[in-house]
Amino acid sequence: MKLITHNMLTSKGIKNVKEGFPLKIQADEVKNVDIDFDREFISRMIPKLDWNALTFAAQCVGHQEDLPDTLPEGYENDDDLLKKLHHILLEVEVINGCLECPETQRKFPISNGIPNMLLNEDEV
Amino acid sequence: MVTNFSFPDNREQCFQQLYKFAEKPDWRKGMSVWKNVFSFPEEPIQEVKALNNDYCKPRPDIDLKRMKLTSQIIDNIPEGILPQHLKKKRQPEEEQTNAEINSAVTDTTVESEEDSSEKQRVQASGPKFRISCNRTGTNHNFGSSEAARQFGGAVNEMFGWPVDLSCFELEILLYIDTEFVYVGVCLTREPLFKRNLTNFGRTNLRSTICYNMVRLAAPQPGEVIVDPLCGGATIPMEGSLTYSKVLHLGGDNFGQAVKRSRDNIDYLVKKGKSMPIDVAQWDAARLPLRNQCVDIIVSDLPFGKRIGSKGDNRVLYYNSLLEMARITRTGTGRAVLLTHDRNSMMRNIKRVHTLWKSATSRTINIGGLSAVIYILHRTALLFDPNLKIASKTHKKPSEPGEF
Repeated sequence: MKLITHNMLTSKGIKNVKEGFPLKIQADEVKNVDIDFDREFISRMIPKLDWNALTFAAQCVGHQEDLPDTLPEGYENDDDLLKKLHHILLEVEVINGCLECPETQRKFPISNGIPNMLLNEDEV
Repeated sequence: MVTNFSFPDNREQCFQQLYKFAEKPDWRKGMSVWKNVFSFPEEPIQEVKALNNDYCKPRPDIDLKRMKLTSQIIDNIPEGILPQHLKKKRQPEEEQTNAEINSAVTDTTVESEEDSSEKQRVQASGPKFRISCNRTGTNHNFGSSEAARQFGGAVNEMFGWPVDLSCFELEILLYIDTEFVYVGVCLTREPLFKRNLTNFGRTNLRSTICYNMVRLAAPQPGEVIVDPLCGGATIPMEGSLTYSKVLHLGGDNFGQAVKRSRDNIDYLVKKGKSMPIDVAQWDAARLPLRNQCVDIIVSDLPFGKRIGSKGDNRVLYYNSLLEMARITRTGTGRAVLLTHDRNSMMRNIKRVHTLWKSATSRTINIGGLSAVIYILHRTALLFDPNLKIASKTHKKPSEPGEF
């Protein structure tokens, strides 16, 4: 599971959950893959991301020091930041671990790189 | 390509039409592409002879069944035993210049080159070729093999290339439909529709169709494409190999399918492909994604034949359309959905018309089934309070949906 996907995942399907976002990552095994760096893609994705959730996720995975706390102005020209973002969003993958709902503490397991977000009958 | 190629009723006239047709395509262009792809050493088209015969007259005494007998067996039978009518046959066989007698007779792909007696001996040089003919439609009064023979005869006459049905270097495809005919040059040895897949599942969409579905959605850089019912993730994979400026997500509720997706993706990543793609396991009727975070949905919905059932479809299509509407950006969002089950789809599109506006739809042939691709545009309405997720179990009367 890449961190860019985590930025969109929520546990709102569970009954009585208001936000269900962001999910806490407990990463047992993390892997790096190589993805070609594309400036346009990263600069266009940034406004669609939730920045706080991203820093939170980076913290859970151990890459906290790379990102500033708030999104700086003029990020399109900051190549350094864009490359760091590219690495964190696309190249870091959580292979084993779990995601935890912030409100109900329900754990969604991640195995073989795939998070299982299926809900049980009673949670719906 | 020639449109409105209507075939006359007379069989001989059809042959004539096909024979003459061989002059029409732009051979130079086709051959230059072919030459580049296959690195053929010399220029394939040396000289072009005009077609002067009416058509390749099929020899009345040769029919394909008899040909099976004449090739090897006859040579080995001693003269005395050989019956009279077959004895005579042997002479014309040696005179024939380039005829390859293919003993395996199949319906669609046999081409045998004929030498009618008035034709000159053609100097055979250039690439070895064959013609394959595929026909669709039932109102032709000739067979694919005959069509291929006519066309091949003309090509051989025009360019002087030798014919070889098995060890060929150049394959020319002749597609005859009810309305139009087109001629193609084969550039790949293996079919393209099975590319990129290693772990096959119960229903796999051809990679070529997947690519075109993603193309129909016209993805822009920085967008997010989701396939909520991805199966083996063929659609996200094809998309991510071509459109690398877009994030592709896929998900399925079936564990085996998700495992297959992982295998497929890992295989390509190992080969060094860079793919911005991710897969999750989720329920399409309850997608674990935030509102309005996705731009495009491209999906191959279960037809209800091999996977699921028509009854399930009625509920599934409705629920997934609602969930897709929730996660897709209003105004600019779009969906490209493929299904065979038109009834369920049309009914449910009408039900959710406040959220999804139907644009065009295209019919497509999937392995014999007449399926339809629906292109939908997201309206500006954020959510419709009247539309709620339907629960599958009917124990509780109405379950409030989440928005």
